[in-house]
Parts: sequence; structure tokens; C-alpha cells
Amino acid sequence: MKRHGLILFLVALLILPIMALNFTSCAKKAVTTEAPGISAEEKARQEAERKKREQAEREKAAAEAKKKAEAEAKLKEQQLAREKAAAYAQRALFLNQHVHFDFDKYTIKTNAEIVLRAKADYMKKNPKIAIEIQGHCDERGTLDYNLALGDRRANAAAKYLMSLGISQSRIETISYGEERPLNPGHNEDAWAENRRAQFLIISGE
Amino acid sequence: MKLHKVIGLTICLLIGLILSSGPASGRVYIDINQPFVRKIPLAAPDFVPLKSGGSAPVSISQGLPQMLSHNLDLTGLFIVLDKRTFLEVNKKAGITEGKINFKDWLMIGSELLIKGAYDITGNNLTLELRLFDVFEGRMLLGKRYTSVLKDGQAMITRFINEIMLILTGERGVFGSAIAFVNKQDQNKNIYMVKFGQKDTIKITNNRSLNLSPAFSHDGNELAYISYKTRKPELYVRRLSDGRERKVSSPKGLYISPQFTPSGAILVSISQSNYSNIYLLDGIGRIKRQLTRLWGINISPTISPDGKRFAFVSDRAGTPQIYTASMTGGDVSRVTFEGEYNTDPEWSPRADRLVYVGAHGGRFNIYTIKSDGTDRQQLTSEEADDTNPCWSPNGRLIVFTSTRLGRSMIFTMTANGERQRPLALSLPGEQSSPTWSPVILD
Repeated sequence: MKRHGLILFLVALLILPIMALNFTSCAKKAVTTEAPGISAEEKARQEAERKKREQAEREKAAAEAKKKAEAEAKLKEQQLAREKAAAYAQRALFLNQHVHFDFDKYTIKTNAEIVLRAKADYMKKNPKIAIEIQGHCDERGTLDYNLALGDRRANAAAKYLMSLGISQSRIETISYGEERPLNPGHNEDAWAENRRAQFLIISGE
Repeated sequence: MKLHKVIGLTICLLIGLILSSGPASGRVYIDINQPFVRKIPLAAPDFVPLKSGGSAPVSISQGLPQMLSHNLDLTGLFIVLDKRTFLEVNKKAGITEGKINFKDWLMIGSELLIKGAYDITGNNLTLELRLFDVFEGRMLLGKRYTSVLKDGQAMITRFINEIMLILTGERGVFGSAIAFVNKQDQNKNIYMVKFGQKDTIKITNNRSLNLSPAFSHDGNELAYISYKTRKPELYVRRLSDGRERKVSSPKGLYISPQFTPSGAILVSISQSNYSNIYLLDGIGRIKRQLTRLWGINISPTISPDGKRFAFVSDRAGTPQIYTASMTGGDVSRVTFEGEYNTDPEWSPRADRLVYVGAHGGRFNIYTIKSDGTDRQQLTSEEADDTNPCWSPNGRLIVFTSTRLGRSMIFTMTANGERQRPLALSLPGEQSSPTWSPVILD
């Protein structure tokens, strides 16, 4: 009895969808048979709806494409910004990291060599730029001697860059003696900061 | 040194002659064996009106005699007596022998008396100025000047030069030009002032650095370095009309120009390996290279006979002063003491150089004979004294000092006495003074 019931159930399961299919096909038939009866107005409405639907789909696709493109552009922009920031940082370092000297000296110190190597690298990465090296002194001593000393410092830095393969034609030198201190103080810290060769990009950017 | 003695002797003779019949006859005024001249006490009371009932602003009646006293003090030849010690109370005391009670001046120890009277008519000022020997009760010098009101200071400096001529046999240098650099808002421009006067004239006027002024020997031109086109260049400016020419033609940084008596220019040109000294003609062509060495060679200064020049070189590791012949040969080192000796200037009248020496981180002014002997320290303040330059007669030195908290121009005598700031009516900080070689008539 139990088994019989199960079989019936399975048959029902099979038949029911077939019936349903039959029913829908009957309904379809009914519609097509009715087709000649729909008005031109209704047809136009349906056509418009279809077009609207297609339009909406196109728009959706376009919007998605745009979104994707935007995301890509944003990524690229971020990438560029990162690169730009890095370049800016390198440029800032080039301009703001100075080569320092001992009092009354124009020999390049060991830690200054590291700074100068970074300058040479930057100039190799930016092969179009030309620079000016400004030589500066602290406020002590006499004006004329400090002008000469500043010039020697600028030239010492220039020569070091040239020894690293930078063309002389890309380097100009100038001395400001003690006229342009970075630190207006009158103590050893200020003096040490002010005894420097400073780098300026004058063309090629 | 020799000339110094001659002048000492001249004063002695003059005063001696004057006083030969006086009460202090036989008194030794100036001991010519001493390097320092005995200073003569002097009084310069307020000026009085020439005509009865005349009047003048305080800047004339008191300002001018004060300026006269201050300037005479700068020579180091006088002790200028304090006005508050004056005994003369007679309102009727005049400016002629008959109207002066010389005892009033004798009592306070004054040996020389300068009296002045003024008259102002419209915009014109007349000054009558008289120098008296107090012991003798006799006028040594009397002058009357008339000009526009603003020339009062110039009348005083002219009269002082006459006083110096009468007392020393040598005209003073008051009224001669001193050029210097004034710093304001990071810009440095060149100005001029007449020694002993207050009003300044602006020579350069641009928003950059204008440095190292140097007069030509006729006083008509001024060489200087300017950054006005960004790159420093050497210019020569004619003072009469301000016309100037660029003299720097060979490439390099020009430092410390100096004219030679013939109008050529000694200058250091700094290039990639060295700063060397060159002789340029008036339009900047190289006539001769005077130093040929690696390193720094700057600050040339020519000897009075034009045969040698002194300069600074770091060839021995530190900046020191050397001399060489005008062909660049026969180099001899002058300074050996200290690690830093710069800014030499050869005296126009003696075989001495004035220069800056550093000791214990302080920069002071010294003089030394060109053979390196007889070094004398002239300043010893807890400040930086730099840029010394001789007056045209070699009696005074003008220099820069920071002793009053900012950079200012000072003068002193050739042996370091009377270190006084120039009274300039100018805001800013001053440096790099240079004295015109011309002594005015």
C-alpha cells in the first residue's frame, strides 16, 4: 500500500509539469490566434516598451563600462600621483638637501659625497635639467674672502658631479658668500647650516 | 712713521712760535719721540648771532659746534672739552679777540678755542669761524662762509680742514667721500657720505646685491660688483652723471676690485679651479695675470709707489697676506700669526698694511709693516671688526664693526684711537667702507 502510494506520487510529479506545459502552450495558441485583433496603438506601445527596455540595457552597459573605465582611470591617476609624489619628493630632496662644509674649508666631506651621488642620480634620471650650484658661507670672516670661499665650495661640488659623469654644460656655479644665510642665528648650529652648496634647477623641467 | 714725526714737529713749531712770548713758553707740547701725539685741549662753544637780535635754530647754534667738536675729536689730535665745564657766562662775549675773556678758557685748561657766529638771511647761511690760541689770546685762523642753509655741515668740514692745515701743515680729510654698502630687506646698495657729514647719497638702486665699492684714484669713478642681472658682474660707474659700464668680460666670478693709480683695475677672477688676480684695463681686457695658483687669491691692494701689491692667498692652507711685484713674481709672506688674516690695504703714506686677523673666533683689525714686522693690534672688541680702509692721508682708518649690535661703519686713528661710529642718518646695516683717495682743496 505504501509502495503503491509512492509510485502514484511519482507519476503525479511527472504528469503535472507536462499538463502545465500543455496548458501554457494552449494559452499561447490562444494569444496568437487573437493577434490580428490587437490595435496598431497597442503594437506601437509594445514596440516603444521594447525599445525602452533595450535602451535601458544599453545605458546600463554603458554605465558599467564607464564605471569600469573610471575605476581604471582612477587607478592610473593614483599611480601617476604616486609617481608624481615620488618625483616631487626626489625633486624636493634635490633642492633642499645641501652639501655642508667645515669652517674655512671647501673640501667635500664623506657624508657630503652621499648627498652628491644622489644629486648625480637625479640628474641622470632627469637628463634635460640644467642646474646652478650656489656656494654659501657662514657670517664669520670677511666679505670678499667669503665670496671666494663660496665660489670654491660651489666648484668643489660641481667637480664632484662631473666626476660622476654629469656634463659640465649642465652645471653653473655662483657664490653668494655670506649674503644668503638659511639660518639667521649667530651660533655654531646656524653657522654649520649656512656653510653649504645649494642646488637649483634652472632649466629643462 | 717719519711723516708722523714731521707733523708732530710741525704742530710743536707752530704752537711753540705762538707761545714763545706766552706764559707757558718752553713747554713741550708734542714729544716727537713718542709714537702718540700729545693731544691739545680744545673748546668749541655754541655759536652766537653775527648781528644783535639774530637767531638760528638749535641745529645751527648748537648742532654745528657740536659737529665741529665731534669731528676734531676723531683726528685723535685733540681733547675736546665738555661744554658743561665752560665758564664763559658773559652773554656779550663775542668772537673777536677784544670780546673774549681768554682767562675763562685758560681756567678750564683749554689751549685752543673755536668761536663761531651765524647769520641767516632768507635761505642763506653765513658762518664766521675763528680759531684762537688761548695762551696768546690771538687768532690763528678766521674764515667767513656764505651759502644755502643746508651747506652748514660742509662749511664746518671745510673749516676743520683749514684748522688741520694750520696746526699740522697737512690739510684734513673732512668732506672727502666714503662709499659703503647698506643692507636693507636682504638687498645691498652702495651709498656715499662725506666724512664728517651726515647726509648720504644713494649710488646704486636695485633689489639685489651690490658689493665691494672701490674708488678710482681721481675719485671720479666707482668700481663695484653687482648681482643685478643675477650673475655677479663688475661695473665701473662715473659718479658725476651715474653712467656706468660693465667691465667683466672674461668669464668668472669677480671679487674685490681695486683701481691702480693709472686707472687699470686689479681684481680677482674666480673660475673652476682657482681665484686668481688679474690686471684689467679700463674696459675689462686682461693686461696681465698676477697670480697663478690653485686655490684662493683675492683682495689685491697696490703699494703707494705702485711697484708691489699685497693680497690674500690660502696657498698655505689658511688665508694669509702676501706681497708680490707687479709682474707677480718675488712673492713674500707677510702674516704668520693666526689662522685667518684677510682684507689687506696698503697705507697711502707709509710702508704699512692694515688688515683683519682672527683670534679666538673674533675678527680684529691690525696693522703690520709690509715685511711682516711691527704687528700692532688696533681693535679688541668682543665683536667682529672687518673691511679696514685708510683715509687718503693715511691718518685714519674706516672699518665695519658689529660692536653695537648691528653692522656699522666706524673710524679710528691709524694707531687705533678714537674708535667712533659714523653718524649716518640711514636705516639698515652698513659694511664695506672705502675712502676716496682724493684730498679736497
